[in-house]
Amino acid sequence: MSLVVKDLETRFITRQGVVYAANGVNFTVGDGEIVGIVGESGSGKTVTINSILGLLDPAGRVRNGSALFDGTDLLAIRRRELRRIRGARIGFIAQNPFGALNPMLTIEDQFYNVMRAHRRADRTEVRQQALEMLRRVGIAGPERTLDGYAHELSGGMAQRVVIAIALLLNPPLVIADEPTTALDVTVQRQILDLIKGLIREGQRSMLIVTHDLGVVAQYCDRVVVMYSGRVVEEGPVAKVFTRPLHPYTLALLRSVPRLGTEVQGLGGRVPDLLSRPTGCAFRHRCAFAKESCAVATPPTAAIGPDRAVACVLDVEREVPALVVD
Amino acid sequence: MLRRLIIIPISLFFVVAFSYALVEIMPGDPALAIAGNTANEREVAIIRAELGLDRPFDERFVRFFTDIAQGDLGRSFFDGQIVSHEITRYFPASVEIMVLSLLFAGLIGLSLGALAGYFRQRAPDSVARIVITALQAVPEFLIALLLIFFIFYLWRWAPAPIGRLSLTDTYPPVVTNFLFIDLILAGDWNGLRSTAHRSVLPVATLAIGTAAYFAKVARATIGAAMSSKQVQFARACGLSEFKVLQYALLQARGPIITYTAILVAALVGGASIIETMFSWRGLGQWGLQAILNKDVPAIQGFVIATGSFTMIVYLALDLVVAALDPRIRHDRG
Repeated sequence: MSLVVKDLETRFITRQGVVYAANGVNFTVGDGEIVGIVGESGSGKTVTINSILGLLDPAGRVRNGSALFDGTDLLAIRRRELRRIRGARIGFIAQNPFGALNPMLTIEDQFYNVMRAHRRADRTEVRQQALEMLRRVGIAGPERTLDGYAHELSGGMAQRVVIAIALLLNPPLVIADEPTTALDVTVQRQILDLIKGLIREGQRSMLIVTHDLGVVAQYCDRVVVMYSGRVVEEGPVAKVFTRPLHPYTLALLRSVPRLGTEVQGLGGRVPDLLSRPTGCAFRHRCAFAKESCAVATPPTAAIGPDRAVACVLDVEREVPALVVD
Repeated sequence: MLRRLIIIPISLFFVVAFSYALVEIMPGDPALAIAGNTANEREVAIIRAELGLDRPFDERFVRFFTDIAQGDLGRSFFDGQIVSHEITRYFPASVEIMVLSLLFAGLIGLSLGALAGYFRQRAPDSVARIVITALQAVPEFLIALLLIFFIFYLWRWAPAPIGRLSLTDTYPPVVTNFLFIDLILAGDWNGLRSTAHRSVLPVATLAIGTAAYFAKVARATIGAAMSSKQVQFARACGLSEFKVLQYALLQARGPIITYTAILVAALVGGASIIETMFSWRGLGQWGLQAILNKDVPAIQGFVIATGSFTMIVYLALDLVVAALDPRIRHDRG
């Protein structure tokens, strides 16, 4: 399995004007890899995955780019073919399980509908598989859950059901959009442990969108940092978190609260995306900005074998190392 | 549920009291209206005494409520008919036109609204929005006049708007007071065809006007459902667009049913102008005539009949919505 996203550009046509939501997004998800996309709200994380999956609002348009999933360009194929891939070969874990699950249908019906969207299967067959999936995601009374409705479940249980539905057809790639932000802090870790376990166990790959750097640090192999609709830095989590190369990554890491140290806020705001960004979009908030930052969008440069950064600074020398106590 | 049942007589009391007070403070004297211009004061006084209008206000008010509690709505000031009998006579006709119009309005309006909601912000939606706005802007009596002018007068596709049966047709023996049902019971197929033909224009008028409301609510609710997380997840799971639309409809079902109930309540007795224009002889036409005659018992009977009908419809609405939504269904159990 591999997912290669290249030069993805997505715009929204709104009353206020054109919103430049994704402006040339590049990243890859390799076989068996868990990749995290981080960034503030409005950085284009969710737009990126919605573009890949064809789930954009009617106002949204993919203007350019490709998303090669095992060689098939998801942005170029017919809607019908994309539909066959969604759910079957790419599982989707939604942010809020109560928003995602249908409140009017029993959980069993929802398993049945997903299965029937891709395969011929009768009710008893689907029920057996659904029970098996629910057991694997750690639901104690799977029969009762299947016969019930979403509102009878706790947040954690409902998200387990969503995960079970996402993995029902054994997809090699799973895309998760902030899978725990809607949940209680106490169950967040359980759910993330569960997801990671199921991904590793099935030798799947995962793309997980989050704004929580802690999640990335603990659960991801590689990280893609997005800012203002672009990828500003990409690399292995261990390397990026210990030695960030982009000033934005550095600022993000510094803004994480740590015991005994003062939190350094980022300052400033995410630029509005109503105008096409010229130059580096981060320069207004960047402590190291130079005049040349306003001239052109910094190209993405490979640093070593597995890292990339989009910054005009000689990052090795000019961006200070993150001080971690 | 029990609380809702208790509320019904209480709200009904207020409806009756309000209607009574409204008629009381309205200008004009029914005795004068009945007696006519040529009557002298003595004659008017006699009529007033016959009607009980010479009694003090509080006495009349209490009498009125005791009578109603016993099911006696009194007799018409105007033609002496027993009001409760008049209501059973005219009410079914209003129900018939309401059911037929809502059937067609629902069919047209919901399809239009679903189309617009599904394709929201795209070409079909823009077209539907223009159609909906245009239909809502045109008053029903104008639709009626246009339909009568073109379909009856110019093209002769429909018969004249002079009632539910032609002058040569005979009315069937009264069994249910629903003309369609009574004609079927009498086996009068010619009469049935005749009345169906004569229903086309009034039903079309009300259906066109009402379809706009259906379309509006369907467009808004289905449009919102289409951009909901639920539909997004359904799509992310690879469900077909047909299934996705079904999910959206499930979500929109509650508001649409609620709106239908409101229209059901509004159309029975509320379609007086259309009923009058087409001589439909329904509750609305009768009620409007009562108001023009300042026929106090008839007006009050009209208010009580439509008021209780509305409350029954809303009660049924609550039951239906609760039965359809597992979230409400379970809360109670």
